[in-house]
Amino acid sequence: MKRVVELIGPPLLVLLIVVGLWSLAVRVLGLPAFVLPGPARVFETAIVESERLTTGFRNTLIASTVGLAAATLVGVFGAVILSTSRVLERALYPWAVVLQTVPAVAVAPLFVLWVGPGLVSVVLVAFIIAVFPILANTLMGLVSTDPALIDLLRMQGAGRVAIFRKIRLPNSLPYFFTGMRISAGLAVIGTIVGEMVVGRGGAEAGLGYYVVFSATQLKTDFVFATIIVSTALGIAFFLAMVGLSSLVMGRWHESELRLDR
Amino acid sequence: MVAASEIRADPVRVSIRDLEKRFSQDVVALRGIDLDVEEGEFVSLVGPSGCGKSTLLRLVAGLDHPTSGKVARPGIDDVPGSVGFVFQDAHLLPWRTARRNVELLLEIQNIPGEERRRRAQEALARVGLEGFEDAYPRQLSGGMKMRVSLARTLVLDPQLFLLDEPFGALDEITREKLNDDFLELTRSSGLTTLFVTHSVTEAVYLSTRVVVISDRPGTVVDEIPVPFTERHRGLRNTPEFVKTCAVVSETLYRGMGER
Repeated sequence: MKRVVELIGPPLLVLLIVVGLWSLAVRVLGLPAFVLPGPARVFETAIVESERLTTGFRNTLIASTVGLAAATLVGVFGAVILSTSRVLERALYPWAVVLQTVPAVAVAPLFVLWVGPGLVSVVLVAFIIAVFPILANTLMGLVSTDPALIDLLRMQGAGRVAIFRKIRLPNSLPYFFTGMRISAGLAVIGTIVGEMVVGRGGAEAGLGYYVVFSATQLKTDFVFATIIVSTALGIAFFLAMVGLSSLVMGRWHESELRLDR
Repeated sequence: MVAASEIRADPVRVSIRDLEKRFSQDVVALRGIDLDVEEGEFVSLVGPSGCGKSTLLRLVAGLDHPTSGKVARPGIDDVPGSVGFVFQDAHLLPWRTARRNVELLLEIQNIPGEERRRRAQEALARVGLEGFEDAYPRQLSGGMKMRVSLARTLVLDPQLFLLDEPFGALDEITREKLNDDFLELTRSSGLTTLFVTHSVTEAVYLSTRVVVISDRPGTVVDEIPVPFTERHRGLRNTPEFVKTCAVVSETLYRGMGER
């Protein structure tokens, strides 16, 4: 219990201070609600609009999950392929970097053009943003293995597959999870960007759609509520990855050990 | 003289003939190396750093190929598990417990789980790590990690044991303790050992023969037989031991001046 208080206490205090200052600023400056609504008003709107926020949350959650899953599959598979050959790595990795620097927001309309304004387009945007950190980190983990260990296994007649299974793959785990932590948040961001561009409302509406929708109607309080829900989703994704990584590596990796500082 | 090796009673485990290793046109690591290691011998390779003694060990291990000349391991070539190699650092897998680290090379040989487990446990007991089977490397001291590393190789029951400065990174006390334990292990199982070190004392204490390698390009300056049959803690202070060390040191300096 003491541990939990120590962990959650300080950031919670900061949150309270920020919300307090926010509330005070709105009142003192007398800003109209469409410019900056106070926290109480945002909270009220969230309750009133809870149905639409729930729909948005669910749709964004689904698209983010599918996007992240696809990014994980392709990222890991791609890293494994690139790790098997120096030539392949040299030929393809630079293009993966180039692909990464292409702004997803700019590409999103193309997806809409090609596969239509639906879930697939949204997932594609999430995927394209989330795939690179997983690919790059996993690849780094697969190739940065201890050469002595590889020598040791080779001397006993181990082939590439055995070396991959016994050394490279487990060695890449901490790197993979680093990638996953970054990509989990990115998948949510990608999904919201996708939803903003795709613009499908109604039952298919995601949080990104509601941001655009409510902003054009100057429902700034609803925009705020949506942003807060989106952020919560991103944090949940991140925490899920932290939990998964401690589940897998908890007993051996330094990052998972409770080191006293 | 050529026929000398054939008439020896002990079978030769390692036979090196006129070996040369170049890394490039200008960089000659080893030149004209002739060396035999017989069964049950404990041979140390001593030389200044960068002399190519580690390279020589890698060539004997088959991890690298000579530019010219021959390295043979009669009777044990291409027999998996017959050559054990231990590096300067423990090189353990951090995601495996001590026991599972020792099992690693047995897995490569497709030895069934039950037997693997039993042999790993035995090997850990032999290096004095009973009760540490389930510890992860991060929970072990430097000396203990090195013991796990030794156990990982011992569990193979190798015919030839190659060690590349295995105790070099340890403190003096841990090192001397490991020296004694290690000697007992190799003696009791009649292991043939080729041991690279830069410590003259360690070489003389452990070996039946010390081979001194010169500065690059590495050549054999001389071989010094070690006259002791018994090893004990006080041995390092006896005049005979000190004298043998002095001979090795002199040879070492001779090799460094000859370049």
